[in-house]
Amino acid sequence: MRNELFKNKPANIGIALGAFLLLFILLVPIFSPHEPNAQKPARKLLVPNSANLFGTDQFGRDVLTRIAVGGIRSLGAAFVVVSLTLAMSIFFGIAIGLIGGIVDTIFSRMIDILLAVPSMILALAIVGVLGVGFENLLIALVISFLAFYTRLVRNYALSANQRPDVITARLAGIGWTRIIATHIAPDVFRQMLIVATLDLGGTIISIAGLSFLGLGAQPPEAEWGAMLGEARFYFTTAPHLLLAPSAAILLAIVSANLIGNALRDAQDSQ
Amino acid sequence: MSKPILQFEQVSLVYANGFCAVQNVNFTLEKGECLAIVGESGSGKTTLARAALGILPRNTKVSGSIKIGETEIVGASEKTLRKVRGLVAGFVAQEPFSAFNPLANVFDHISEAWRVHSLKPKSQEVFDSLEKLGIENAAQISRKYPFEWSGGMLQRAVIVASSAHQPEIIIADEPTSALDADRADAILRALRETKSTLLLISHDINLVRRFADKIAVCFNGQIVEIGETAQIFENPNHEYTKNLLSDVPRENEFENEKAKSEIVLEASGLSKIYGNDENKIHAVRRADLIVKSGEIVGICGASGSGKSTLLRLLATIETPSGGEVFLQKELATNGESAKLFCKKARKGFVMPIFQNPLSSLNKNWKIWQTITEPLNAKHRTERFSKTEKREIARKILDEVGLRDVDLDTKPTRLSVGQCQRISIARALTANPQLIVADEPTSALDISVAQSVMKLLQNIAAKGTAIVIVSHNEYLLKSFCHRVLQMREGVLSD
Repeated sequence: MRNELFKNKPANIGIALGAFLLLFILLVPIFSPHEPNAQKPARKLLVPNSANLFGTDQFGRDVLTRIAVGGIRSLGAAFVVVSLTLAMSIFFGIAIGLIGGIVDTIFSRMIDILLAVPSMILALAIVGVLGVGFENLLIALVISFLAFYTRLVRNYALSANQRPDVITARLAGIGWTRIIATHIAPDVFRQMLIVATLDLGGTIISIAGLSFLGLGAQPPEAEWGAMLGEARFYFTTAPHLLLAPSAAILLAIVSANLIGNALRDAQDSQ
Repeated sequence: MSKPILQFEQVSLVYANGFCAVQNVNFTLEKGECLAIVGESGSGKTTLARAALGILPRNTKVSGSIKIGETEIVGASEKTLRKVRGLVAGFVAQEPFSAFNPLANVFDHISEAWRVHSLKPKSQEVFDSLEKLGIENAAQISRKYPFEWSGGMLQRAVIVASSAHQPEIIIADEPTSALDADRADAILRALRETKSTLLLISHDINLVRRFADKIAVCFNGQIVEIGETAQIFENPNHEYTKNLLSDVPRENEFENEKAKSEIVLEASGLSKIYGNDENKIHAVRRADLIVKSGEIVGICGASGSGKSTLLRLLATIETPSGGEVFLQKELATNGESAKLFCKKARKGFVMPIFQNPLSSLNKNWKIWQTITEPLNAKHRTERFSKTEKREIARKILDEVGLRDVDLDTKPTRLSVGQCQRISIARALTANPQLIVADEPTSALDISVAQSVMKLLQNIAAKGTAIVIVSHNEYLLKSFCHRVLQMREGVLSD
């Protein structure tokens, strides 16, 4: 599968884009002479120049440094949301699928109810209950994605239960814990990893979108969506403030989608 | 001489990974003729059939010329190919289940043959054709979904769909591999009655002998011999053809050893009903069976006769609706309870072997891990190190005739026949008293099937009881101590 991935041209572009973005957000804060939150009112709303490559914002903060620092927060958060969702859904999904019976019925109906509400609206509602803040936003997103993921894992687990290799292991006397650990979970993980990678782009957008609305990262913290939110008031006088975070979001999503597609193709070709 | 319908000229095919599947193949097929291509799995037969319809994977390099009628297939546009497929050339695929969309009913699927060419489906014609192929009450039953049909019935539906427009040629890739012998005959007869030219891909030489005008023997991607059927059978020229012919099983070739006395499995009054009160399906009706140690019992029946269900009941994978299963005189399951009564059943006492060996092995495991998996069972007190496990795996691989296979290989790098041997090896590691095998040879060509059956015979000689389910009565009679028949859920001698 690894070889297939590297042979795939779009995947290579995706990996290169992702690597570039990662290097950018990791290295810039180290080498930049500017503090991300240091305000210099005398240098506000400057267009890109030799001292500030991406210009400065309404408080005179360096946009380049803030994009990099915001990137750590945006991408890191998307990664945390997806991994947490993945881990929790694999645990719950396999448990529900294999226990079956009344447990399955109850949890499946609960999932149906959660799936009936669009995930963005559900996240908004949860943030409303928990209160505004970046951590709460992440919790809200995990909960809103969890229903869909758990449903998928449950279905994989149900079909795994009828698989010849699992039946053979059961008849041979292998315990359920071992069967789950060696047969079912690795297989489910491989399938779900692709779904998760494809969803990474969507998660980045959700986080940026909710932060844009002011429900996520709070000032003065840098975050791509929050930066866009602040920049929209200056789009006639300083349009470069909108361009930089938009380009960063675009690059991150294209990279995540290219890698996700390639992973799926590699899995299909097996 | 009449006009050729299908013409292969100097055809070579190289897959994207560099594997040369077919080299320099030449043959012509004239109107009304039936040509059978025979050979082992992996010899390139299916690739030839797919090449004729232009349905090879993308990036496959094709050289030479393939003509259907006047149309050149190599390098043809998708538009040209669409005009050929279905109208001029029909296709019957190997795996009926994967040929159907599980969300559409069978009638919808058959009528698609008309709809793709913007024609109105003729229902009565569909029903008549289905009934001609032995599907009773077609008008009603064709409104059911593919999973409610058996593999054999589905294959007949595929044949109806592919011959819908009376195509000039029908290309059939192992059309009968999911069917029992009687049905296979009926289907090939029906295919020949369509008056279409027929390109038949098969590993069943006996079947081919009765229906094909000409036979082409395919070996390592080349056609090593082609000629009239009678001539090939009487005077085979190529070494490989001779081998292939000598592998045809002869009835009672093997001395049936006397079965030993200990009763391993006893089933009495076993029945299984699927569905709800309104729509009951009796898959198994009051089956009685006693199997003694060292005995090989064959269960033969048409597809959909309930033989696989019976096997699952015997292996205690499913609970019966009525009746009892005893393992070594200890009650294992009965119709009143979904409970498993004896722990023996989950201690490697019964081990299964499945039809599709690839799906029964974990694709991501090295073969030594698969083979030694039963050693990790809960009831075993002894634990083995990795080196010990590899040694055990090596020994068992020797036993099943895979001396040269690397322990670290993964199943996707092995042939289907080798994979089946590995699933047998895994069963042996569990040290079972009873092996239940569901169509263990149907995915294999005849010479490999023979060697797998011989292997099972050797295992039985050491005292393990074996129950084999198959639609191939011929094969069962050559290898089993007794063969029982299964018809519509009823088991009889």
